[in-house]
Amino acid sequence: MNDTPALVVDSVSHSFGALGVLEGVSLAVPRGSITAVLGPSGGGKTTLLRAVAGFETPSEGTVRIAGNVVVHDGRSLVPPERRGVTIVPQEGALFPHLSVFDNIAFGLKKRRGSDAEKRVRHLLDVIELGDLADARPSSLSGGMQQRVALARALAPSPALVLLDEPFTALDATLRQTVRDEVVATLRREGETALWVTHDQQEALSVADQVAVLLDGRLVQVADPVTLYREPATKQVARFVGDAVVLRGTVDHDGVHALCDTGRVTLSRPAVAGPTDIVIRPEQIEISANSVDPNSPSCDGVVCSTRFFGHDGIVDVRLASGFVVSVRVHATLLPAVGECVDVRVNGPVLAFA
Amino acid sequence: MNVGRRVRVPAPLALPAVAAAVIALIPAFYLATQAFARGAGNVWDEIFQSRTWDLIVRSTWLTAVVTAASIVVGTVGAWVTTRVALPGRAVLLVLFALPLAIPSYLSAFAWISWQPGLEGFWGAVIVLTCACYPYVMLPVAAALRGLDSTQEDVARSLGRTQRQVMWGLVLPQVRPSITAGGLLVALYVLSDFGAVAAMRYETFTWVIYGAYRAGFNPSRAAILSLVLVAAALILVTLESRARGRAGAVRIGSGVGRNRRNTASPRAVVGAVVASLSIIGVGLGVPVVSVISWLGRETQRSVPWADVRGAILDSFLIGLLTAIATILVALPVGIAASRYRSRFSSAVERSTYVTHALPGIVIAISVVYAGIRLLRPWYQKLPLLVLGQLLIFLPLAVAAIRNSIEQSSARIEEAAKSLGAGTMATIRRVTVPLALPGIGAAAALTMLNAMKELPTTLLLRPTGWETLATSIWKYSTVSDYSAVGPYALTLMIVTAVPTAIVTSLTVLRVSRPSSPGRQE
Repeated sequence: MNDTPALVVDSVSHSFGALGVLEGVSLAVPRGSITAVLGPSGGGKTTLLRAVAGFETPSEGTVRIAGNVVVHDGRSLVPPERRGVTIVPQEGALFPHLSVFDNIAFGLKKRRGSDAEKRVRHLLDVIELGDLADARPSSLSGGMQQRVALARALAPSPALVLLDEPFTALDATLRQTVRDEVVATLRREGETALWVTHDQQEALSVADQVAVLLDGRLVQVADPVTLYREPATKQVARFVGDAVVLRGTVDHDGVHALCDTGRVTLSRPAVAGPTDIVIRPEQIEISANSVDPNSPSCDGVVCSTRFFGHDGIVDVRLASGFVVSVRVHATLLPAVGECVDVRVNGPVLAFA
Repeated sequence: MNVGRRVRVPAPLALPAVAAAVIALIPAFYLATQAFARGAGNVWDEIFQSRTWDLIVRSTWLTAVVTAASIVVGTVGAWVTTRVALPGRAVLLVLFALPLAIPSYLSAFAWISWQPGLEGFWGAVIVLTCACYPYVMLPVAAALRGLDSTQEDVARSLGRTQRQVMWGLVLPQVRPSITAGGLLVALYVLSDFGAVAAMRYETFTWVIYGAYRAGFNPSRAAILSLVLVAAALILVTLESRARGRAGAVRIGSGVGRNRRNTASPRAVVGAVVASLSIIGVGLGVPVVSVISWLGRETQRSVPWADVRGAILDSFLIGLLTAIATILVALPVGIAASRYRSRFSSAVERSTYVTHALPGIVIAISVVYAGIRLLRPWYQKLPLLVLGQLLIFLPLAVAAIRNSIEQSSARIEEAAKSLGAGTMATIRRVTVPLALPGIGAAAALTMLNAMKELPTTLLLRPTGWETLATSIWKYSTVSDYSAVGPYALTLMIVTAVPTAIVTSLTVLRVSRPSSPGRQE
């Protein structure tokens, strides 16, 4: 019984008029795990989330929550209020007419009495807002509001919590802190979460499992490390991180390839012949070389640098004329016009 | 994201909403059955009579002149309050808006008691223009305030004079607001009963009232009403179109609110003269007249018991009307804002039908319904409340719908995901959040019901006298000294809330809208 996934989405499709938004999406979210749905805006993420919550009825497919079928073939069998799925919306959507305490207590079956009091107090402690039980949502900062929205969603002990890009309304520095707090809370309480985001860093850092949704299709579902190291397609590779794409040729052995940076090793065998080689910027290493930039033994010439503080990006024009961007420590930024040696560390990906 | 979503209005909401729609359609049903009671041929005979034709010409002429005058006065008022650096402009705007609070029949009697010779067309024009120009001034002032002043700076820097900027740049941009306001004025003039009756200028409403009074010729009254409704329907349609366009003007003008005000001596002098005339004619004459009536009162003792009784009756009728109207409007407003479907918009539209019906027509139709269907209620309080409800229902539905749409539907989704059912969500989230707007709608309904004349006149229970009917009773026999106390009370009761509402609106508009709180 305990192996029943908290959520199973089976071949779900949905369209608004002629516009298809979801096409045959299948996904299982194991109990106690965090699954991120990663995709660009307009990719169908929010529709998927609303279909699970019950605010949208997909035209095809089945949705099961904790083993119970809630949607089957275009019919909603369970209304949102009885699905046991709570949401943390983008803008928090706290009830402005209720105090923080009453907001958190909103979903409890019994909102009065010592049990309710205990549950709300516990959650207030968890989100570290114990002093603000009587405050009005409007007096809270954006980050605090989002923490209350999370506590409100956790209070009724739902089978699944849905987070809809919960931090896009916050500014960048705050986002990191609140995200860490929210993940810590979800982990500590052993909650199951489906987390929708367009931010690949967020998806990779918070989730046990990342589902990439592009143009309404789930292109790949994998743990973050696998997803980053072995993306299924070139599109996914580019979406989950910065990528340098070079033309190259796979050797007859199928495990090596030749491209502008020289001979590279492939992370998985490929068919011999012309191919695209995808390299992560951090795999490329450059080192100063004192040879004349015009000599044929020079790998590449620095054509511009961008300084970000902790690191920097160096654009290097390879001997072939192709320009690659390389991420380096700020202390190692070379000068424009210098000649550098270029080396690729570790295996790279080939997509025919 | 909710494109093409099909929603079903939940039954506990749908049933009262349908009931509201049915109630709202009573007057239209009455009109149709009465008008065609003697066959379609009779309808044509009545319409193509020379006296009907006279009536159409007279009503049209009055409507056209008042609308034109209101547009001029209202636009000047808007310009003075937004573009000229006069001290205390906010107070000025409130003073300019106050004639809205004075019932047209009251200011008509005020003018006649001062200048009896004004009776007739021009008297009606003055009184109705004073009552109506705020409908043009308020939206135009809002539009002027919302205009991007950098546009004007750019035009000046490109060689246009101040005058060219005004006519070529500013006016075209506020024209939709002027049109929308002008149509509202026309609608008001067509359906006004008090001013034309007091001024004895025969238009549709007064003749309909006459046809009803003199021997009750229901068929002629209904047929004339039908013609009036046709004219009103055209105006309502034009008005809602113009309003749609006026809205678009404001959307595009979200930048650069810092505004220099014209302070040339000529402009200031012009503004002062304009302000004094507007306030003097619109507010001064009625207020001074009423006070002078009170002065005459010293020779006679004031019947305080009667005045107190009228206040209580007005208050009770206003309160009951407000409560009933809100209760009927609420399910419609919720369905229209949160469960959009063909069904809910059909229900909402039916409640707007009475918007095109003049008060006097609604009153007569409720009399009919009372005689035919609600006999036990005839000449009793519930029937009067029903009549008033029908008049104010469209405003209440629109206000409730707007106040619900102010808050995000996401909040209600959050409530549902937390286990609150449809009705629980409405009770625990939707209604509490919209409460300020609902309260404002209730207050406005109560205020309007207290000064409403024709329906109260026809439907009040035997022995009841409100402030409005008392003013009517004594004024029609020119006993102005007796009117004084009632008139002053009604003015105070309606002017104070109007002043508060206007100043709140002014404050809200002049401040930049505050975005959601962020870190």
